[in-house]
Amino acid sequence: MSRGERLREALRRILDTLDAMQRGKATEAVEWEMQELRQVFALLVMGEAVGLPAPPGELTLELLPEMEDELRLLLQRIDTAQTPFSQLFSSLPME
Amino acid sequence: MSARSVFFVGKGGVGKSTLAALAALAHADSGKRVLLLSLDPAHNQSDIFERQFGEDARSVHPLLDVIEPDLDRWIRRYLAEVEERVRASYTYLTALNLEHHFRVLRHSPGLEEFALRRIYEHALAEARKTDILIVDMPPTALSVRFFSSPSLSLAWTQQLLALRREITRRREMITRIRVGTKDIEQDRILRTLERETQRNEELTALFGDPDRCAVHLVINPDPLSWKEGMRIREELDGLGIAIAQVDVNKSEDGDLHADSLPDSLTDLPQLGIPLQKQSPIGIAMLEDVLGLIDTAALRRPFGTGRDDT
Repeated sequence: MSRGERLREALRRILDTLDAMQRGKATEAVEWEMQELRQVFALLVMGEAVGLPAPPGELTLELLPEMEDELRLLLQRIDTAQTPFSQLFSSLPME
Repeated sequence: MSARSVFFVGKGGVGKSTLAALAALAHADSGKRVLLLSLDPAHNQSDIFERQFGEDARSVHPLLDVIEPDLDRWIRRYLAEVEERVRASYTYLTALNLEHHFRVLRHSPGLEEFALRRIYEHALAEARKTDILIVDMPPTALSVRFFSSPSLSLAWTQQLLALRREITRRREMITRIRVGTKDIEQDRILRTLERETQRNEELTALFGDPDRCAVHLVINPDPLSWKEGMRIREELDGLGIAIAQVDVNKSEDGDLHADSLPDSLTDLPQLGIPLQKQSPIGIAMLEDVLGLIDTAALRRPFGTGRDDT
């Protein structure tokens, strides 16, 4: 590769990195919002397990097959929280 | 056009199942194609027609079929199906750990009336060639929950739908910016919520439509029975479901005296069914009873042959 080509290559890599950083920044806030909303959603659907008012049982059952990610999120969050809820959850045989 | 539904509700022991059977037979005798669906866990129709009924329709008359599903079995099967779907779609959390939750959810409030709703919807869908769907309802509490469950479920699904849309909007935004792709994966949860919302909206509309759905309130001529009847009426009124007729079963002579009904029910059309020495068992005895009453009234409000669609 000529010096010109190497320079162009290096610049391109820098621009790619900058671009990814910008995109990351742009989505950070929205990602955070989304995670919070997902958590609320998970609590609403599966909150019965932690004592929250629950939708009719059939909604939880109908949505359960599609909510593995949400369930994991919920478990992670409860795991790291220092609340009685996490104690309750840890007493259930969950992986 | 799908079958018109007539629900027979009332306190346990007033004779709902017998009235439902009589009405079903009366419609069939008048030339209508009838499906009698028993949602009563007591499984009285098998006793009344002296035949074992189940989930598959069985014919007792050229124009009358009977279905009497087992609620517990239906629920167990439904839970097994959900468990299967969970096993098939979960990759990280193993389904084995959810057994505990399934055991808890089996007794979750709302599951019985959900099962009844699904069974009813299924019967309605299957009854393509049927004119009239007669439904023998469970005792009062479960019946009221049956009628109120679509709107209750709707309240939840509408809220969850709005929340889910907020989530997917943000996800799409993130995907578009991060990956730059236009190919956004459809959110399955959103689809399920949309589907449940639509189902519940349709059912709520159906229950409130007097052209497609009617309720016969069955009572006995005694104060306890009246009181329960009045309560049922109140609950149904609150749900926008009209009572088409009050059937006074086991009345002394079949004639209705002005004072045999409490005031709050006298504005409704009434029919008296005379007290029999014993409950009719078998088609012959049922036909005998039909010979003693105003069958045109029993067939209200869908008894006239005003349509053949």
